[in-house]
Amino acid sequence: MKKILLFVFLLNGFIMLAQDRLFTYTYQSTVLNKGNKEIEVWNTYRTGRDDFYNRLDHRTEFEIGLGSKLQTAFYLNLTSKTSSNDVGSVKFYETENEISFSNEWKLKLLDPVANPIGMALYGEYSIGSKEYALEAKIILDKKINKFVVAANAIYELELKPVLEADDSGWEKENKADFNFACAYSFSQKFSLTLENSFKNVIEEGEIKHSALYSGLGLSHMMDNFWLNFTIMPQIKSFKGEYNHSLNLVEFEKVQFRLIFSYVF
Amino acid sequence: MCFRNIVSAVILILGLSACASTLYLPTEQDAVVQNVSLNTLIRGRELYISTCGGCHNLYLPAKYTNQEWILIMGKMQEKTKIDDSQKELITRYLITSAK
Repeated sequence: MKKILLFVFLLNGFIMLAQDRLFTYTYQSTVLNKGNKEIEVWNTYRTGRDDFYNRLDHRTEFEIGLGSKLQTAFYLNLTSKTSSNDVGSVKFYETENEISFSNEWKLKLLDPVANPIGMALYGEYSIGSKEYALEAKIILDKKINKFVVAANAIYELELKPVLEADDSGWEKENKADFNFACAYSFSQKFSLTLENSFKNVIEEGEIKHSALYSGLGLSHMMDNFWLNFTIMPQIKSFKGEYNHSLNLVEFEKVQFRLIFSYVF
Repeated sequence: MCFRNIVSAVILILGLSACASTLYLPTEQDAVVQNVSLNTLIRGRELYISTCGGCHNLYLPAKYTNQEWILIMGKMQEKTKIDDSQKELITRYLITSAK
């Protein structure tokens, strides 16, 4: 009887239940239920490039479910980046701060439970104090008993205005990433996750930097609250390494990401 | 080369896993146990996808027990336009493969 009463109490939680997000880097195809709103707080710490480098990205996201298949979200992004610079024999540290705004749209095409495979399209644009970005994703996922597998193909275009006396225009950077993740739910509330991210920077039609990140994470889900944490070390570099098996010029040695969320 | 290997592995895993829907498909035996026709259970599954999936993400029936599904469906009916017979069909299907 006690169990039933507790379950009735938790029913409202079920009805508002979030989109079952398990991963921190890899997206799943599910969208927020119609009319639900969610606040997500992201924190990513990156460190370990060749020069002294650390970076903290903070994102506050407000997500809204618009229909059974569509959701949108607005982000406020704050970035703080510290790196060392050499000028002659003098080495100094420089910290840059950036603020930006992003808006994402996600359209679910196939449901990971009802259809053989879940599929969604994702688009995001960002307007920042120093650069602009466009991002597109194809999201695939599948639930198999206690396992969830997900894969994302991601393309990102970053545009930085160049304002010089003799040359003004846009400095472009193309990124093509491929994420693959799987999760195992060992209880209703906890899942162990494994995420892999294959990152590529493309310049003039050629891959200039390429590296694979792979890391373990933990996902904790309650009725209208969830928390995901992943440690992503760089495992191997394929392009652009400089006397290392890792590419520590373009990418960091390790990233940590924590996301927590509240649905209301 | 490595990228191709990774992509191939992922496509293979997703491809193999994508052969069928994860959502339980009722059998003749389930119909006998439930004392209803197989069509009733199949209709319940279709309604679950179209009606429930029309508003929110779908959950696997095995996620909850029979009793929990009955309570959930009672609560959800207040929020939707499904009538008693539709609720009955969906509940019948869900409890077929409940936890």
